[in-house]
This record gives sequence, C-alpha cells and structure tokens, in this order.
Amino acid sequence: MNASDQKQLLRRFEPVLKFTQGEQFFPYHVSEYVHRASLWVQSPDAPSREVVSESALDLEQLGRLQLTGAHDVHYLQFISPMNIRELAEYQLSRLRETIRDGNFRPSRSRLARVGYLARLIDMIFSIALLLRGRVPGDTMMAAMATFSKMLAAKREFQYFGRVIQQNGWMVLQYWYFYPFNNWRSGFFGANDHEADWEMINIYCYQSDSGRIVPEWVAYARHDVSGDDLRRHWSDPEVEKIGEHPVAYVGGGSHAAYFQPGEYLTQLSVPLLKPLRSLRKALVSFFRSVFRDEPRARRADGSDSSFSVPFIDYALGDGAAIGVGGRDPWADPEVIEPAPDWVMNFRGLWGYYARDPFAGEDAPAGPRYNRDGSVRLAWFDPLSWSGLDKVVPPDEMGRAFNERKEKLKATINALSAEIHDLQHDQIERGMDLAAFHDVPHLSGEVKRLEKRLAEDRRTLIDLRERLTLKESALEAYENFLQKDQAERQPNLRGHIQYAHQPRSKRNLRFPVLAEVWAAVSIGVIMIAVVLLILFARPFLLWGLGALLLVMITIEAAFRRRLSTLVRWTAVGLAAFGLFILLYEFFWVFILVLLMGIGFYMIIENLRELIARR
Amino acid sequence: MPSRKKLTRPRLITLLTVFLLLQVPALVAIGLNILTQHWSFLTSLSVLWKDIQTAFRLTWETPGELVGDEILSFKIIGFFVLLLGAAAALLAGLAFHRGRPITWIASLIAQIATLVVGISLYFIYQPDQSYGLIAIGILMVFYLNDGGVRQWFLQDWRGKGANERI
Repeated sequence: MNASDQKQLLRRFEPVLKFTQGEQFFPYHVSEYVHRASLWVQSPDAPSREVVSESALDLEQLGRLQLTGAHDVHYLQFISPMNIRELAEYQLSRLRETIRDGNFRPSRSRLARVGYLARLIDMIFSIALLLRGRVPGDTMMAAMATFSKMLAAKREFQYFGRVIQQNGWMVLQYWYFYPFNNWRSGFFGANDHEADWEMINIYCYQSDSGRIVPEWVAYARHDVSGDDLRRHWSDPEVEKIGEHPVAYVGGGSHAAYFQPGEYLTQLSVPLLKPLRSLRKALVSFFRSVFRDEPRARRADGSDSSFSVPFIDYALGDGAAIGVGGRDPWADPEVIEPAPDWVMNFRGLWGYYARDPFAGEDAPAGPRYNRDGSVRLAWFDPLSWSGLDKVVPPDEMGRAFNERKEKLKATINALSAEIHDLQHDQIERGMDLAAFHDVPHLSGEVKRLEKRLAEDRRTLIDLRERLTLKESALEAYENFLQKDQAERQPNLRGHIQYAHQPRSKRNLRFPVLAEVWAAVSIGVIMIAVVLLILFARPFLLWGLGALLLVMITIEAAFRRRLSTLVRWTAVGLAAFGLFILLYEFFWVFILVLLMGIGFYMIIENLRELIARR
Repeated sequence: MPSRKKLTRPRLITLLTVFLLLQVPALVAIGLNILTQHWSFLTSLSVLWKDIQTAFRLTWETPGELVGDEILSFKIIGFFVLLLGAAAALLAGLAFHRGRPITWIASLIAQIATLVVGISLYFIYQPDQSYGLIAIGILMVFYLNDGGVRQWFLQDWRGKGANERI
C-alpha cells in the first residue's frame, strides 16, 4: 500500500482525542521539537556533553546520525532551565490563564482510595524521588512556556501513522508525539519526562466486497500489553463519532482510555513481592478453612496494599482534537516504510534523568524501547493487543473448515493407529494363552506380558486423545451449523481485567476521610516519636494501642468495621493457636493420635454391628 | 410480594448460642480471678468485695508499678476487657438464633476480648487460665467463621441490599 493510500485510510478512521482540562501538551510535529532540541551523549563515569546544539538539528540529520559507544546514552534535550525573570514572567501569565479558564482540580484524594500501607509506600516513593534522578522541577514550566510559543506560531496537531498487513488483518497504527509528560508535576502522577510517544491501533479487515471494515481497537496505556487493551469496534465501551473512535487521554500521562473517568493506576514495588505473596497465601488459606465464597477479582487485577497509587485523570472535559473537536488534525505523516529518523535514531527523545527505575527518563522513538530494542507494538501489533490468535471475520469460515478437516484427518489417523494396535494386542493375548504352560517359551511369555502392559497404556492414551478430538469435531460442527450472528464470540470474553474508572467510593464522611488520608501517615510518625520521647516504658503497649486506633478509624471511614473485627479475631486465634502448639506440642500429638484411635475403633465397630 | 427463601438454621447455631451463654460466667469468673488472684470469691461475696477493693486501691496507689509479682494496672484492664467480652457474649448469645449480623459481630468482639486477655496473660506471667482463654477463643472463632454460620447471618445482611461485608 503506498503512502497516499495509507494516509487516506488513516484519515478515514483517525481517532478523536479528548483531553482533561489543564492539559498543556498536545500531539505535535516532531520536526519543530527536534529543531528546538539539542543532542547530548552520556558516557559512563563522565559528564554529559553536547553533540549538536539547539537549532542546529533537524529530522534529516537525526536520521543520519551514527550513534557509537555500546554504553553511551544519546538523548535529545528539549528544554534548558529558565532564569528567574523568565520563570516569574511565565508564572504570571499562567496565573492570568488560570483565572480566565480555570484549571485542573483533582477530585477525591488518591490516598483516600487506598490503605495505610500503600500510603506509606507512596511516602517512601516520594522521598526516593528526591534521591533518584528526576526531571528538574522548573523544566515542566519551561516546557510549557516553550510549547505555548510553538503553538502560538503554528497551531497544528499532527499524528504519525502506518498501515501494516499481518495475518489477514490490516493494522492502522496512530502514533502521537507529545513534547512533555507532566503527569507528576501537573496531575499528581508518578513521573515527568520530556517527550512522550503514545499509540492507538485500529484493526481492520477487507470484506469480500473489498470494503475495509474496522473490527477491533486498542489504546496504549503505560507499559500494558495484551488482550485487556483491546475492545471490539461494536463494544458499547468504544465511543465513536462517525467512524472515528474517541480516546480519553490521561492528564499529563497521555495514556488513552475508552471511557472518561479517573483511573487508579498502581505501580507495584518489586521489593514487596514476597509480602504480597505471603498475604495472598494467608488470606487464601483462611478463606479455604472457613469455606468463604470466592471473592471477585479486582477490576484492574492489582493489589492495592503493596503498590503506589496514582490516578490517571482522563476526564475529557478539556480540549478535543479531531472530528467534532475544537481543533482538526493536521495532515498526518506516514511512517511506513519507516523514515530514517524513525529507523536510525535509537536514542532517547528527551532529557536523560539517570533514573534507576527509568520513569523519569525520556522514551525512545516510536520504533524503539529505551534500551534500543524494537518495541513489540511496532514489530508485532497483533501480539501487542493479543489479537495474534484471532482470525479476521472474512476468513473465519475458511479457517474453521480447514481446522475441521484437520481434525477429521487426525481422527482418521488415530482410529487407524488404534485399530492396528488393538489387533496386535489381541494376537499377543492369544499367544500368551497358548504359551502359558509351555516351559521352553517362558522367556517369551515374560516378554509378551511386558509388551502387553506397555501397549495397554498406549491404547488408553490413544483412545483418550481420540475421544477428545471427536468431541472437538462435534463442537466445530455445531458451531458451523449456527448462523453468522450466533457465531459471533463473546466480544468481551478476552478481557481479564477491564480497567474501569473508579467509582466514588462509598466512604463515610468523605471530606474527613480525605483529610485523614492526607495526614494519617504523618500523624502516626509524630505519635511514634512522642511515645519514644515521653512514654518509653510503655512503648510496646502504646504502639499497639496507636495501631488499633488508626486501623479502627480507617475501617470506620471505609465502612469495613465488620471485616476488621472478623480478621482481627482470626489473626488473634491464629496467634493463640501458635502459642498453644508451642507450649503443648506433644500433648497435641498425643491427643491427636488418641482421637484417631477412638475414631477408628468407633468406625470399625459400627461396620461390625451393621453386618449383624 | 415473593418472600425471600430463608436458610434452615444450622445446628451449629444452637450449639454456639449455648457456648456463648456459657462463656459469660466463664469470662466473668476468670476476670475476677485475675483481679483477686484466687478463687476465694466463690466462697462469699464479702471476700470478693474485699479483694476487689484491695486490688483497686493498690492500683490507684501504685499505678503501673510492680507490687509483689503482679502488674496491678494490667489486672484491672484485663478484668474490664473480660467484662466487656462477657457483655458482648451475653448480648450475642441472647439474640444469636435470630441471625442478625450485629450479633455475629458482638460474638466476635467477645472472642477478641477473650484472646487479647489470654495472649497478654501468657506474655506477662503465663498463668494456667491464659491457655484456657486462648483455647476457648480459638474454638469459638473457628466455629463462628464456619461457612454455614456465616451464610446464616449473610442472608439477613444481603436481604437489606448491602454487599457482602462480613
């Protein structure tokens, strides 16, 4: 497909992006960005050095660069820190804008949605941010000021697109370049970084009449991949304006969602994995002991206790780009085949913060991961969204028939194999009957017995496989007898964890609960210090009482006092059992043995009496 | 209006009701024993009253201090916690068969009181009654959390349209 056809197809389905009020960065031309950026290299144990200065770089040059040094990190730097005067000027202009247009206001505190442990981990995460490499605080402001100037000079929003054919699917891949990700400093999120590449895929097929029909759509969010990202085109969750799907873009993070709302995104802490597993095992053990009903899995599949909570505000109440929005899309740039700046530049597209967790480092280009390897979404867009196992609808009939024929052939082969082996078994059985009493054939009898036992197992295995294949064939035949509408599989069956916006939690006294969430960890720390200073002899008791009070307050806010009472009782009982086992281990064993003895006597006597 | 199908009352409910009611005098008696350090209160009320007065007076005069081998303030706290547990067990025991969730919670509070005092006693000076308290608590928690028992209480809870919270 040539570039013009690709462009036409991309434009036909180009998504509409709806942003959250307060969003400062929008999909933009990379050429403008690169022109304002400088190129730097960071070698191990050496200070960064500038390779190409600002205004001297363009896309063509970027594509021609020969990056050397296996351990060197090449990166673009979009922003130089502002001086005090520039910063003050910009702050004033922002204040004027805020008064005029309003600004982003977070709703319920993210901390009110999670427990103490997550709050504590969040606090550690925030402190760690001071120690880790991070994007300097005024960089976001400088980026906002620069991007405002760029927009004033050229208010055009652009995406990059490619059309890829894979396994009968036609994948329309839309790439969006944002000059800055200000999730942390603008929306209380996890990270800031220069440059942000985001993506949306639309999966189409060509019908018998030659029409291009969209079937699936997948929006990229953070580092997630797999089935959960994908929705069917006719899924009510996918909002559309004509043939254009609507994506709600997370404030600052630019992750895309199908529905507007506040999405709780949790960063799990690898160091706490053993604790997470222990808790899971304990809860699972007690639930099986008490025969509890299975609990519904969390909608996002996460465990809120051992992760850092962040909210992605994808409210859609701000600017919109695309059909029906305030701004249209500019002419897109087709990047299939990949131009040199996509293909050759494996460096980072923004400031390299040397963050060990990489969250504050800029990403690489659309084709590459930060480490220079090719992105999964680029080389295998079907696997990226779990579509590699799905055939396009127009090929479904043929594929099912092919599979049915293959099953039939397997059944025939298995039947023939079983027939031959069964025949051999019968012959060996007859031999065994005839040789049994012949002394000089005793060796042959042993060999026959061994072979019969072996082949018996093989026959059982073959018959089991045959039964399974026959059942599969029957299922296929039933399926193919259904009409087209009935054959449509469950459109949401592939989704394990549908990331849904968080509903307003049923908190008691919500304002108080939010204030409590914000101050609780600090209060605990101050109370511990006061205990150490003024009541050291009662430290242990004081800590216990403090913990009890804090947990009770939290449970009351969350309407979970009954759960607290239950699990406190269970925990104490488990601890008490441990004490008794420790103190009376051998008594336990003896009582247990005696119990078993009595039980056996009673059971045997009952059987004896019943027989008479 | 269609009536909601009620679960048959498990036999364990009746048994637990009896246990809860038996737990009341047991907790009060152990509480008094902790306070007076002997079972003399069983002989006469005047002895009991005298023992209680002595215990309170000593605690008041030397709060948090050791008198002999005893931590008196702890004994007073233990006595009141067991008294609270006994009250919860009494309330729960009287209304347990009705299947109201609040009685289930009350019965668990009684067990928490029992276990807290039992475990604390064990760590402070390991008297024999701590093992008894712990054993009672464990058995009751185990039975109160039995699937059938919980279902009995949940049906009332769910009937009010609330989610599962127990």
